[in-house]
Amino acid sequence: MTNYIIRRVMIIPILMAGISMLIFAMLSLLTPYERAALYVTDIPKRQGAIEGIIEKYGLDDPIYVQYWRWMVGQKDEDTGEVTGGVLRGDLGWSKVGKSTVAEVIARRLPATAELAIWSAIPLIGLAVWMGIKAAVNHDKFVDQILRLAAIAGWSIPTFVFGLLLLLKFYSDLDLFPPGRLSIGMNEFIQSDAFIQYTKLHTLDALLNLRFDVFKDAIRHLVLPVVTLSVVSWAFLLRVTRSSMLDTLRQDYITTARAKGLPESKVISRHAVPNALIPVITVGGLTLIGLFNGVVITETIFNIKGIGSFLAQAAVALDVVSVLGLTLFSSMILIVGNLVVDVLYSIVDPRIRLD
Amino acid sequence: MTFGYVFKKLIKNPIAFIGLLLLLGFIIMAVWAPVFAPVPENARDPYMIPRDGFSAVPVPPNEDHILGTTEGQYDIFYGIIWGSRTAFRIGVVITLFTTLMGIMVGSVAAYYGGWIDEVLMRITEIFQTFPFLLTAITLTSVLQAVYGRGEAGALIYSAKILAFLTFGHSLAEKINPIQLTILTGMISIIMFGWMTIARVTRGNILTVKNYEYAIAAETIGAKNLRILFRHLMPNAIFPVLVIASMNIGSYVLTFAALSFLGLGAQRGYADWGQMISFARNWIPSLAEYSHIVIYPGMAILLFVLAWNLVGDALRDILDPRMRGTK
Amino acid sequence: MNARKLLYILSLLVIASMLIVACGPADSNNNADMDNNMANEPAANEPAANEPAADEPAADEPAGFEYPFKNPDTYVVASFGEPETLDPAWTYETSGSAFENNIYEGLVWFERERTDVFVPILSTGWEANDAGDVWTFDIREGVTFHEGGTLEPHDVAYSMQRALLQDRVDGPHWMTHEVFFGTYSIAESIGDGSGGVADGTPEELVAACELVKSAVVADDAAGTVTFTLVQPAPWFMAILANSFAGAVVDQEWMAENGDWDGDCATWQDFNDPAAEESILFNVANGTGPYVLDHWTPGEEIVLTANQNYWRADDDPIWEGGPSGIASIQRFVYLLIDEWGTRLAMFEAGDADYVVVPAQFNSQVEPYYGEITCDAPDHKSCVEVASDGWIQAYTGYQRPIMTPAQFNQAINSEGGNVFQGSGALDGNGITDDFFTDLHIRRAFSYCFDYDTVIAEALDGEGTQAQGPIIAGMLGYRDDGFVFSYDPDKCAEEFQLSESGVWDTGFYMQIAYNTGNEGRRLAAEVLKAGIEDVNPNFQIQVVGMPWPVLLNARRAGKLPIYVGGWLEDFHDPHNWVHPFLHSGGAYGRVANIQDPLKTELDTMIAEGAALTDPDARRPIYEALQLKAQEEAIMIWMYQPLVRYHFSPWIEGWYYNGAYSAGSFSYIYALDKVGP
Repeated sequence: MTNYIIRRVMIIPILMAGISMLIFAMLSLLTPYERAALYVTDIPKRQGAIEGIIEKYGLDDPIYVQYWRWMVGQKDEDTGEVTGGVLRGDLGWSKVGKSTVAEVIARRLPATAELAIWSAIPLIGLAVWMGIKAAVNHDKFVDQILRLAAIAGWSIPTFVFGLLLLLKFYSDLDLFPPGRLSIGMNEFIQSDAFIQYTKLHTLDALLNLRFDVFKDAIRHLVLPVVTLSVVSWAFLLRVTRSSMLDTLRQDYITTARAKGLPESKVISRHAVPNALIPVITVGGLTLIGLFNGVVITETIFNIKGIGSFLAQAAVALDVVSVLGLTLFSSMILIVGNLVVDVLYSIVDPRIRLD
Repeated sequence: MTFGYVFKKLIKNPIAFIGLLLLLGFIIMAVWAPVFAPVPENARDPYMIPRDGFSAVPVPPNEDHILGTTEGQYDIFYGIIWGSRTAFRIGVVITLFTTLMGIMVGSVAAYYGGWIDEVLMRITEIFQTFPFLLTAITLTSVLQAVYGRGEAGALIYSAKILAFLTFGHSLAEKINPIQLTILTGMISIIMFGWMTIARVTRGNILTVKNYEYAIAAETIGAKNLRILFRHLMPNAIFPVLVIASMNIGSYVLTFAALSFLGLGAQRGYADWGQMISFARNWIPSLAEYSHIVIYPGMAILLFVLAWNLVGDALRDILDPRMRGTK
Repeated sequence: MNARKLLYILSLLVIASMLIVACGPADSNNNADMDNNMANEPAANEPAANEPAADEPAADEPAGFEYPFKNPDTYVVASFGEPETLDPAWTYETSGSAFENNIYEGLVWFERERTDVFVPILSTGWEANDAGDVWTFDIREGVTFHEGGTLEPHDVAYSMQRALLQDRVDGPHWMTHEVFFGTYSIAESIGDGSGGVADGTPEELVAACELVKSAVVADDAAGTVTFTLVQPAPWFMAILANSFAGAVVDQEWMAENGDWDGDCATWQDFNDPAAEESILFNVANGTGPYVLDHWTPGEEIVLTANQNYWRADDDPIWEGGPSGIASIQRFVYLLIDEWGTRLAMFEAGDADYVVVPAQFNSQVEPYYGEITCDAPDHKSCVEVASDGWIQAYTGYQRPIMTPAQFNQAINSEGGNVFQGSGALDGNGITDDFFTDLHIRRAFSYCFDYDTVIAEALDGEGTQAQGPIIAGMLGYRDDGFVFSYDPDKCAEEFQLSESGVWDTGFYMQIAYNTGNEGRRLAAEVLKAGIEDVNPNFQIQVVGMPWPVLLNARRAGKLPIYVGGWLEDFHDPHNWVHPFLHSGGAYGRVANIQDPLKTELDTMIAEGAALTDPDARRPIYEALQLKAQEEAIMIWMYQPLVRYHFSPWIEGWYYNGAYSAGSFSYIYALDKVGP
């Protein structure tokens, strides 16, 4: 297995290179003038302004030169000093984020992470429980209802669902507002009286023993978490159900039943642990799949996280930001996948990684 | 397994029956759109929703507009009816292309194996590693810029083919700029939507490949390609069809998400996602203007639901082994 | 089997209930429509939803509603739009310069709401020679920078020299170079002026720097700074009051922190930097009443009052104006893109000022309390409510104008989607379509000015008279303006010798996606034109900004709906961009000779004079010519509103401020109940 992990880790740079090249190729479809538009928010007032910008940022260099510059940095002809370069750990300057890409990630990741972590709880807990419930009652009423609910959940557009929730619980009942914290709370947590250990507001609130902050953060989290998890919830429910069904048909379950074990024990002791094995894989993938959901969810609920930023940068055609953030999120996906695979082989000895 | 058998099974399944019923409803809506929502006399393009003034404030349902108007006074009822045509077109054409691409990549990889397989699967993996929606957003923005230039080139021809299949737009004519943004969204979804089918096809062919008749055919000396098409494809293709039918709904969803972010259909085009995007400006008073979300939202939900219900049942009927996988 | 039947029924029920949900809100909406003030009082409304909603609107607001007082001494603004940088010499957009106006100071500043009267700030007085091209300022003593340095005359000179030499390529200093040297960039002062900065030899570069230094001279002993202009410029003071040219930085501190040290041998290393390359990108060291606390990009910018501000308590900036340390201790600028969130914050008392896009005015009107109106007989002065909590200031004419610029020589090279077939065959337009005066006039007659003003601006705007805005030198009391008149429009089309009335035409008008005002203007123009003749067809297309910018540069757009916000308050800054063949609009309008030469000559004439009475006839003539020749569709100027919480006091309107709400926080107070 160590070999397998090493091999997988070795392949990461190749994937990364492939990904960055693909994005670069995509962006090379743009003319220098279109790329320069990022730096010009209004019509240029001086003649030759756009041409000057193109020259300043080297936008008309051949695309491989630009790629190389982005990868290994730029050498100053006079001083010989090299600046930038992804390989040297510099993801570059984000024009849209008005800071370095690394700073953008550092600033925006906590919001996304908090959202994803909280979404995972109802997701995994509820979906797995319901999936088991459905399988145990196979083809009975409960099963059919859950199945229908899963399809419905799978069919609802994230943004419609989010808007409907806002309609009811914010616009109508004024229970759960958008954003991450109320303004007053936001001011408070930035003061010296509150130490931000992780920038995950809920966790920090608990660490500071400030339950009012915790409550406020939760109040803002409820709707986005529900919105984000509903699609994946449906998916996971179905996987759990079918995995459980498969397990229930296995010989050893029949044997256990034949031995006269009570049904509840058969299920909790023998069936569930085995049925959960494939769920781990899919569950991991689902969490990764949340990445797609965050773009819409963060946009609707006005959360300043990675997803909403990337959407903003992509629309503005900010090449450096898009490249940096895509690389970063791809990295998370790849590592996440690897972890899931390894976990999978640990819990299920039948699977051999090679 | 004849068509009649499948159909009978579908009718008997209550869930699928509802799905079929809904689908039928949408088909009727799309086919007879001009009857349900007549095109105003002086309209130049029936897909542009007629508007009653320019005011931003939405108007709730009333006698003139039975489902009300949304921001910009676009008639919601008209938009929903004609939007069903857009939904069918987008869903079906995207599915067609992703399925073809997936089958091609998957079968070539599986059949030839070796380094071809390795390279193709590595590429598939790279595409799968992208955060799908984010990359689709980027590609759509880029393509909108590229096509906006209106210069000739390979990309324009591919868009023309797509325009021909989607809108029946003549290949000789210039692309209608109103349709252009829809095409760019579709291309992005196709570019990043073929991987699942490729993997499934590859997996199935690898299984089927070991079957005796394939081996037998090879020993007789039949040409590689002929083997591929004669024997392997039909056996591997059924599961793919199931996935494809389920995909239609999710592509419509993805396209709607692009529209919602302002990267899909043009403002005022009969497209459900575009109609819902207006709601973003009215969130605090959404309770008052709920009609601008609920009606188009219901349309998308029911449309996607219909496909998923049918797809789910189809899967059970055609391939019991696949129960529960995506 | 039984379970299956049940399931049938249940599935049907699910679908049916969805449909019911879908149809449900219709009822409550009708109620909401009748009683249009109940938008945000949901809980109180629920029980009454079924009763006829004939209550007084006032009943919605609980009697004795008290607007919460939060954040004492802190002025919170919720807005969108973020500075590109906080380096004043680099900045050429309103958001950045508004912050700089609080942090940095120049020699002069506007006297309260006046845009043409200046008060001394870092100077104690000034005089100009008789010709009006040499200005000498006495520099104030006893002023310290935020980081501790003392203001000396050479700091003032250095700041101006740095601005002129930094001269970023898309920056504001074409104006500065114009007044000092009659050129538009530093590159024009290098060698023969044909190359860029990088092409200059070391000698040429030093010479260019020396030229700049000779125009801006400090005399530390005498405590003066002297500016020598190439010719008298009536708007020189207005430029000095702007932060891009006026803001004063500390030369020693700048050099210590790695910026230019004033040496003519190294200035080119600091020429045309990217925004983030300037050391002042996100740190600041000015003399102003506020200090930059922090800027978290994408989230907030916070300023705090300068506790060591130089102005004494008995030395008000103008009569009755603020003095001493600023009254508002903290200024918080929150970046909130979503309008809905901003509104919610405003209602909760979390923001003292929010930016309200004109189309959403109706959403805040129910909360209007005290209304101050600047345009007496205008719609915006209609009383909407008077027992609410918003301090509303309405009807202010901002120096902004939206024109639709014709392109008289469309570039069809390599194909041009915007002009259709490229021929006047009913499916396109020719390259010289808009060279025809009759067609330009027809377009001007077919544009429904009132509808656009009513819909895009919610009625709050006025039709523009020409390039020069209302209230400015050159704005005429009388004279011809177009009005919406389909008959005259048709007549003009028929008069055109191109035969367009019979053949018809097709063209596209593009706007940048997301710009609602421009979209609406294009849509109204489309509707007006298509109404007069069924063979006329215009397609309005939203496009990403890069595409539009590119197409405009290449001269491919037949019509471009744009906008102009003045850089400095003088008619020159209006006629030059619009009408001059080198102006931002003029150079893509491709105005043809002899009109082109005529306009260029008149503009140069007007700029060379200082006496307002001598200038007036020239600008009035330009104004009339621009209208009669229908060089553009002079569409509208907006009137704007400002919405404050009840606690902000001392506000006044100054049209030259880049952000009306916070360009000069020093003058404001926050007073609790």
